[in-house]
Amino acid sequence: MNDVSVNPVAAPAPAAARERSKMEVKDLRFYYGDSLALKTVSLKLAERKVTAFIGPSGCGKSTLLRVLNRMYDLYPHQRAEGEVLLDGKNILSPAQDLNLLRSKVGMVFQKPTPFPMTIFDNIAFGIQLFERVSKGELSDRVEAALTRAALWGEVKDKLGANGLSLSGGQQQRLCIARTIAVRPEVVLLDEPCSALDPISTSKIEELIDELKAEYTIAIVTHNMQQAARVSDYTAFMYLGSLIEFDDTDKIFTAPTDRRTQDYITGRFG
Amino acid sequence: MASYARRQVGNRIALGLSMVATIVGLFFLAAILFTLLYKGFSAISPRIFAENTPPPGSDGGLLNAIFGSLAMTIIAIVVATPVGILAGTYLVEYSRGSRLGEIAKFINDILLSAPSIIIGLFVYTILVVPVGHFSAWAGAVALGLIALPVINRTTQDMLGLVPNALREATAALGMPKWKAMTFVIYRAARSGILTGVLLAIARVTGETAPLLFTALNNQFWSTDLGAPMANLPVVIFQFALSPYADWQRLAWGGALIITVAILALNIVARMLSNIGTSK
Repeated sequence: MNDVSVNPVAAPAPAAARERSKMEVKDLRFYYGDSLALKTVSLKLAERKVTAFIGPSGCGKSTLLRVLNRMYDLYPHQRAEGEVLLDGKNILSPAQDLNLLRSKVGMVFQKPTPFPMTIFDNIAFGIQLFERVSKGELSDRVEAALTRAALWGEVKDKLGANGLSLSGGQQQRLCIARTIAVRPEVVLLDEPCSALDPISTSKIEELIDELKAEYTIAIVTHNMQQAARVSDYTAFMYLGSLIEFDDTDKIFTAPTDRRTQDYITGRFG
Repeated sequence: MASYARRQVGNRIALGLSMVATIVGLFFLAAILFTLLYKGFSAISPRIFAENTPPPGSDGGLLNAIFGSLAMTIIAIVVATPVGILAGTYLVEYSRGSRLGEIAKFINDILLSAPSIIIGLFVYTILVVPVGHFSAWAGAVALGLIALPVINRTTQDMLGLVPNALREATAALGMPKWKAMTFVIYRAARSGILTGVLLAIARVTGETAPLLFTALNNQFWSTDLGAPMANLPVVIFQFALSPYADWQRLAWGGALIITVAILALNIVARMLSNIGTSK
């Protein structure tokens, strides 16, 4: 067989391109009504790595994240064009089952959103959505999720208490526990620490570091130190475009684009 | 400095006027309650709850009227509550932005402020005239039509207070919408919706005009929903206008019973909404 088309030798690709990609965004354009919020964005999320999205407010980071689990579908005037592949399958296709997608691609929000029920039920409810488990196994799963989210020690004696009675930092860890309890493959974190104090923040950052052994993680953050600390790859976005996407080390030490450099050195944004 | 002095004077005048307005308002409210307590209290005795409405000149109570009010209110609320809550749920959670939803919301608000006599007249034309006689069913339907927009509107308001972040959180877990509604969203809005139902009961128990056209009144004990039925508001209306002193006394007693019941409902509603917000 003679292959006519031979791949040209490309410039050294970022490491992200060398790894197996869990999700791949291809030529994504996103509209809020008539206004274009994402202008043809393409990138890959490497499996079991942490990818951070940074950029000034309104640049489209959260919008991009909300496409990855089709959260925008809740709102009538928002729409996406292009392709987003999860393990090679286009999740933007109308045939995609949204609940199934979201069970694979979990999300944690900026503000903690515990459900108005007990701490135990907050976790157990999600598990029971997709699986039939025995009572004993259910409590094991709840304990495992809370332990992973570094919350077990603080709540093990009050699992029957209302989830809303916890402090803000605990509530956010409860939400993370709830998300990982359903065993997703990808976890999206939308500024998970912006409403938290430094101690809770560092707990959650440690948690992210542990979770990447099992999950593919995408995190949106306004805190550049946080991006540098927790992520393997960093994407810098500006005005709805992906400006630069590379190894986190490279973005923060030797960015190629002038705008990236200006942003990480605090000259704008 | 002059402008500061002028502002202070302006402030005093405005404060003074608000205080006068408050005092005038409270005075009449207190006068009404005092008269009611003074005249009504002497009429309250065990027999008022044990005997039926008497013919003029003899002793009696309000048992049949209390029973009638309870029966018609309960039927009205039992029917209006699920319909109102489901309609409010549709308007907030499902019809977002659709033309049908906007029109339905608007019409519900009109219904909410419609004079109750018009509702009475409407039920009279469709349920009393064709049948040929007044009935408790017609009364219950009229009361239900008054309660319905109240419950619908409070459900809309209370679901509107549930943060969107909570809806997104349920969706992010892959929770089907019906499960999110029943187990999370309703739970978050529960005390508010319950408050709305209680306020609807309070509103309905004092309604007179629609019952005049529908259930009318009955001098005797009756549990037949197909026949006219006694009820507190209409009994108060008839007895208070009568020339007989003992009928007038019973009317005051009935008025006190309704007022205390409405007061109790409002207190419970307020306690419930406090529980809801302090979480």
